[in-house]
Amino acid sequence: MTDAKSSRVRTAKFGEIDVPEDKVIHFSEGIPGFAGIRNFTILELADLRPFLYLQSLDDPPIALLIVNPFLLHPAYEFQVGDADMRDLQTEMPEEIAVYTVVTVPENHSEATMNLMAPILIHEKKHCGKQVILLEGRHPVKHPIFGPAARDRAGSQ
Amino acid sequence: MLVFTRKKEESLIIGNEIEVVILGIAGGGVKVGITAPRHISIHRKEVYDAIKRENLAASESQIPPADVLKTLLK
Repeated sequence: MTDAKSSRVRTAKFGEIDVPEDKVIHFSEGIPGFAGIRNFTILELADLRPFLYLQSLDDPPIALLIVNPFLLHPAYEFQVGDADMRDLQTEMPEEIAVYTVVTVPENHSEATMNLMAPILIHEKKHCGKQVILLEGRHPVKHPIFGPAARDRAGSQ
Repeated sequence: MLVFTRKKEESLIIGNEIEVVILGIAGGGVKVGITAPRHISIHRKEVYDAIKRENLAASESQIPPADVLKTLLK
């Protein structure tokens, strides 16, 4: 820690960064695959827009690619259970920011986002949770780029 | 791993708050009922594993260069 208000974190992708205390998001249950990691922050890079990184502040310093799913899939909707809302310390859905985890394979045009397990974040309360939706109608791999975009990229 | 043999309608208690009951056995399947506090999340393992795989893949994913990204997002 460099001072009380922010801490310096070593990242794999972005070198050392300073994270202000009020930008720390605590996932009390961790997230599947990285169960030991509890603290994250969101990194925005102009070049990556609309994509963001959910950067771990604990070891190991992983960074998950995420996106606001509504930008790419406006019809996305789901219900959050009472227990999840309690974990997020609110009763008001409008206070929750929604992100989905993005996977980009070697062929970029086949990128997908995971609509079954959105990452919900209550920024003001500094808490987050990856919820697993039970409805069973949201795929783990939802294509991000439209068929036309995929064809264009494929023909390049 | 702890292994038990249970009959239909018999159950197990885990800690003070979690109960697992065998509701029925038919064909190759076992129907299991679980009573647990609401903060304990319960999922089919294959679903949890799929989400774990996507998270790991997302941590290894690179975003395409800005110009490629622009084309893809059109």
